Parts: sequence; structure tokens; C-alpha cells
Amino acid sequence: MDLEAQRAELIATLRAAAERRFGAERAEANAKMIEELAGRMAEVAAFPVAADEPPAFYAEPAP
Amino acid sequence: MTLHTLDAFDAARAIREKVLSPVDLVDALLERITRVDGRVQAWALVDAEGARAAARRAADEAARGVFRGPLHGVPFGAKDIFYSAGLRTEGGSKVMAGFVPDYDATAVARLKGTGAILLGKCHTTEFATTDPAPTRNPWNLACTPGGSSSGSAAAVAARMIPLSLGTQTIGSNVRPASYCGLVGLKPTFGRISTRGVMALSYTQDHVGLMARNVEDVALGLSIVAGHDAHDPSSSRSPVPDYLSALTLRRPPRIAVLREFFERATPEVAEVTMQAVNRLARAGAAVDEAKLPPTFQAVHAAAALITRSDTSSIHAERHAQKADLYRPAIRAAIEVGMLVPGELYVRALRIRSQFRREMRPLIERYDVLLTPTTPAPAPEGMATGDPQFQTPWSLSGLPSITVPCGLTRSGLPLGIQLVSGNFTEASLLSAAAWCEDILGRASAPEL
Repeated sequence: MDLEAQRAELIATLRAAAERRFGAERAEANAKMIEELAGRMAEVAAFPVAADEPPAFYAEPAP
Repeated sequence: MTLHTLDAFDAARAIREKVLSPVDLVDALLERITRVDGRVQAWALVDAEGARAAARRAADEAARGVFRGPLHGVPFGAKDIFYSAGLRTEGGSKVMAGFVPDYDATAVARLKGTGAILLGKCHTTEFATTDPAPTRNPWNLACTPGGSSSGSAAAVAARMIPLSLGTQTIGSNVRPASYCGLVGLKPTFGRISTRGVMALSYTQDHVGLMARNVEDVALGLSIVAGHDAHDPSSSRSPVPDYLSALTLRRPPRIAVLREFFERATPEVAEVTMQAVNRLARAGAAVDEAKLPPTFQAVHAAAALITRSDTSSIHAERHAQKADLYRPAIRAAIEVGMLVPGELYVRALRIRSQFRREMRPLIERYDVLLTPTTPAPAPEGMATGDPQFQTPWSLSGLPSITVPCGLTRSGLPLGIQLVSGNFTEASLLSAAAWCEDILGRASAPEL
């Protein structure tokens, strides 16, 4: 699935989740931010990450 | 020279030499605030009474030869998300209306501990996100000063204070500093304690400093940097003597990051390249460098991390007071609750990968250089585009902006310098060398 298709699918999923959680009115109010977030989620999901890359929580120690 | 134009280092020296009274300095700054803040609106709260009392104490001590530290008697401002004992701290939000902390944020406490005087609290966007503060840019009142540290930047630029504390989670300290013609530092993640600062992200919140020159920023950092037992994310790495580092000024090895110039307006790219050419003519070794592949994903990763963190931090307040939030932060909190855990962790792994890939580039040069912002301060209330700060907020690498000129319409622009983790001493030294070549920004006419 290309990025744009994945984004469209994510928008629908997020919109439905927002309606369930906050109601239709809030989901509508958040529509623009949901679209933006869906794009970011699609980018993160598609970007290749090394299999052994750990999550970074804090900065590295001083050299 | 009028007192309100004194920079922090010069004011501290004059007080130490007993040619300036902290009382006169505080009075001059309060008078300046009375004169210009109606237009600039940098202050959420001015503690005139408290500042005058602190100034009298500082003056008495100075008369007896007692100096608490390098900023004895020098006033500063703090963004209104820094806790200040006994002073209203509302974070620009109705949600926090009337909140008065009973302790000082560590950064505020450390400055006060060296004799500095908290003059008041500077306006912030709501909870340091995007719903704007009322503050205007002293260089052009029709423009934003940037955000979220809007008041911290405008107050220093308008000569209402010589030094201020801001914060940066995405682009909130370096960008407003640049929009207002200031030097602004976002140090390495963990270099300055965030205890007592209203949080936005667990892993991207940084305390920053703003002043009108590099020396004042170095002086401020030397006071507020260092481990804080109350902040588990604060680093235990030793704090070097940042002021001594400034005496070691030499032409730095600079890597120009072309990707940023391509994303800037033609005028910003042109002014910044003119500055780079001046640095090269003065002896800097200038190369061009490419960012590693993971740069493509840093903005998306940062967005997911901050959205999720903000939701987590505000979840309880949102459950009780959702209607009191302004629209942008309310939407950010609600939408952030929808980020799947798997993607949040993947974003953290992208951050790790970006840091790892940046290491060889960072080690090859003293500093990386970009325009600080893709465009000058925009007109209106929106606080501008933070994209040139995002990679360094995400990765925790330190960055600093130094003024480099004005647009044709008279708005300040800056160069942004970036270096390795906990290399603030050499970063400040390189910034000071660049400042020597490029000159300091003039004062805006108000």
C-alpha cells in the first residue's frame, strides 16, 4: 500500500476512534489534526528502522 | 547609556564594582516595562514589589561586599510555565487560572541563588503549544515574536530584561530568539533540569536561555546547568566553565546543511549564505554536508512523540476541564490519545537511529550550520514554522541561534549552530566567534 492510501485508511480509522472516544462533534473539530496525524503515522510506519535499533528515551551520556 | 539597555554581564560587573545599584537597575527596567509593554505585551505578571525588595537586599549585601554569585542583583524573566514560589503561574491557560506554586523551578531557583532577581513571568502560548500568547514582536508589532517562549524573547529584545528563561519541545526557544534578533540556546537534553516546568513531552522538553549576546547566554548556562536529584532526566555529566570557553575563540570547522537552505525562502537563504561567506573569509573552514537518511522521518517521529506525551501529561486535567482548553491544544491532547503504542515506540526507535547516524557528521565538524528559520517572523498571531529546530529537539543535540542580519523589511534573521551532546562549551565558543564576525543585532525601535 502506498503512503497516500495508507494515510487515507488511517484517517478513517482515527476518525472512527475519535468519534467513539470523544463524540462526533469533537471528532469533527479535530478533523484537521487527525489528517495531519494520519500522515505522520503513515510516515513513521513506512520508514525503515534497523531491526536491532532500541527506542531512545534520554540523551546519550557525555563523551 | 540608559540602564535598561545594559546586558546581563555588564550589569553584573557594574554592580560588583559598585557603580550600579540593583535598585536603580530594577527601577529602570520597571519604568521601561511601563513605557513599552502596553504595545509588546511580553509579561503575564510583573512582580514589581518582589523585585524591588530583592533589589534592596542585593544592594545591602553588595554594600557589605557580599555577592551571592555572578548575576548578583541582575533581573531576569521566566516563561510562565516555570514554577515560581508565591507567584501566579498559569502557563497561558485558563486551566491553571490562579495557580500559585509553593516552590521555584530548579532553573529559577539556581538563578535566584546566585543573586539574580526574578522580575516577572513572561507570556507563553497555552502550555507551550500553539494557541498564541498576546505578545508582539518588538521589531514589528504586526508580527509574531514566535513561540512558545513569546514573552521571554520579546522582553529581552525590547530591553525590558537582559536575560530570560524559555523552553523548547519542538522549536520554542531558538525560533523566537531568532525572530527577535537574540541569541537563544537550547542545550543538550538533560543539561538543565526541567523540574518545576509545566511539561509537554517526557523526552523532548528542554529549558533554554535567551539574551542579547553569547556571553550572557554562557553566563546563564553556567548557573542553571547541572544535575538535579529531583529530575531523573537531568544529566550527571560535569558542567564545564562556559565563560572560560569563550576565551578560546578560534575559527570553527563548519558544515553547512544544504537541505535547510533549500527549504528556506530565497531571501533567508541569501542572507544566511552571505553570513556564511563572511565567516569563511574570516577564517572558518566551511564545508557542505548531507544529513543522514533518517532525517526524512524526524518530523513525523517528533510529532508522534510529542502528541502522545502531551496527551499523557494532560489526560487527567483534560478529563476534568476539557472545555477550558483553547482549540489547538485541546485537539492536540485528544488526537494524541489515538496514537497506537507500536507507532510511538517506532518513533522512539527512529530517534535512536537518527542520533546514531548523526554521530559521524557531528564528530567531523565543530558545528553544523543552518538558517535558524525558513522565513522571518510572520505577520499575525500564528507563531511561525519550527521545522528547523525539530531535528535537534528530537535528538537532544544542542543548538544556538546567533543574529546574522535583517531582511529587506527589517526583520531579524539568524544562523543556527548545532553540535554534539554536551559540547555546549565549544558550541558557545564557536557562536561567540561567529558573533564577533557578524556583529550583534541592533535594538528595535519602539
